[in-house]
Amino acid sequence: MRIIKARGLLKLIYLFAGIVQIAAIFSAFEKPAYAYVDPGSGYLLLQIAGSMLAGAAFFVRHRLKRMLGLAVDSDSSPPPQSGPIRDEK
Amino acid sequence: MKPLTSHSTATFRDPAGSLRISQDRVLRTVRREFAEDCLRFLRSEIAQQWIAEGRLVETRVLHEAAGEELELEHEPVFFPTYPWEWTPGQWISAGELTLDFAEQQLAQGRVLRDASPLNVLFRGSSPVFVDVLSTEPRDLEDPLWLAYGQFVRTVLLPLAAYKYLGWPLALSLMHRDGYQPSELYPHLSARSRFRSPLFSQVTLPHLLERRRGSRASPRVRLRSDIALAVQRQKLRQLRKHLHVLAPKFEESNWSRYEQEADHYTIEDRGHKRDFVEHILETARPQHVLDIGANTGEYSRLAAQTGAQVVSWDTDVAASESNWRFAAANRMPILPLIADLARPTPALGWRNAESRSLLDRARGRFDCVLMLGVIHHLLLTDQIPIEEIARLTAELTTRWALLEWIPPSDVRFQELCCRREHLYGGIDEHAFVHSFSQEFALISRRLLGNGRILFLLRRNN
Repeated sequence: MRIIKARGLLKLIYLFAGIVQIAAIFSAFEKPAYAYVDPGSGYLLLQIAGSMLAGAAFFVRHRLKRMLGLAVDSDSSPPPQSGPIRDEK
Repeated sequence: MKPLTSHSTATFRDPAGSLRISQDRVLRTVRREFAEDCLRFLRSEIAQQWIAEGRLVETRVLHEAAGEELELEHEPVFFPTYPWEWTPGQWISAGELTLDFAEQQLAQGRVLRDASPLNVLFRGSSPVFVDVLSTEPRDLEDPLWLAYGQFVRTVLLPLAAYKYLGWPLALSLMHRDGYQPSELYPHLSARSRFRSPLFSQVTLPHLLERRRGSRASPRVRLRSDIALAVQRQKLRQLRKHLHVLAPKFEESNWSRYEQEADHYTIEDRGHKRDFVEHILETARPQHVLDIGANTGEYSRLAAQTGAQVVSWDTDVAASESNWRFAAANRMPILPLIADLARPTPALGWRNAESRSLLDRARGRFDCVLMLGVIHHLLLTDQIPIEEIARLTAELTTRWALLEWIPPSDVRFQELCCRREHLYGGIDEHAFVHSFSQEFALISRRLLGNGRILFLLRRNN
């Protein structure tokens, strides 16, 4: 039981380290988001922050459910090893 | 019925295509790069379902060929309106429809790229989404909704300004792209800046924009299922904010008018109602314009005889009450906040993007009701009676049902206020004479309180 808990904790640490790393990459290499309408820079930043938090929360919830052996949302596919946030292509 | 207008371009800002109104047809040209996707959307099950439910404008393909522009024709909406003429309830209804559509599009792997309330018109009391080019395939790993800011600026912030600052929703006619958070922020009290949803929709964006300026923002990519969950959560949050911003219904002197009209006995009111009902049932007009509709008592009579009704009134609370009843009972009544003496002007590029109220109304109705409103036009707005008669003749193609309030009436005297020498001479004879140039008198009913109802038929 202790080993499982330690593993879970380690995974969470990896996850948040990953998020911080990706956020740092975003700040360093900005690319514009193109839109037909003005997205508004304040709303866009807010959405970015909200998306990262919501994405992380979704990912953690998903992982926790799997670790605890609870049912996982049917519309979510198995999480990849790399974590929820992907780098810009 | 007179055509809407000839060969006017209604929208042209959209890079994917343009819309023009030719005679009474609404035609859309889609650029060839967007044609295939537009057709895919229109033929999708969800688009067909929305069209069947009357929530998306009916559209037929006029011309399609590979590598060529696509030509579409939309079913015309009888009386196009703009958000600056809507009641608060209509704003909420249009916002809900936009969010419903955005949610449906997400489920189809698409996204709404334009979330302005100008994409919504009303058929009676039912909102209909009219911009079929507003949707595009979604980048499945992108959790950002680029039209989010536009929805907040053009729907949520005008409602917030109305609810918390008392700024009329009609002011939206001066702000094509809605309000910027920086326009509202200085006017909010320190406490309300931290109130939900003002904190997330005004305070935070304002502070972020001020700190960051207009630098480009990065893209974010998430795993597709997470990106979808984030997008859905965002729409849920916007819906919640929309409901929080729904203004509480507040009575006004005019919205209580029917209950408090002390210049009408119950008997006189009954006689007036019977006369109007009898005329509407006999004439059976198809399109009725109720000017000075108040809370819509006579609009509802017209709707019950099978007419499509457009109700104009200057009072927000009375129009909102009219809207709520019509919407709850799905009646073919379209209440608008409109002033015949100061009608909505034409707006936008070359004054041709948004049409004036009168341009949309002239010759579109076969019956005009003006009950208890002519003395206001005459005395408050100082419009000469001959002018009122001429404009009435421009608005109706056949019937005019009018109420004349004589100078002896207590309300006439209140409004006249020491100007009897100017208006005291406008008696029934002068009133009838003014309208006789354009109309024939068909029926007259004198009420016990001295007010007179007239049914006039327009001369051909």
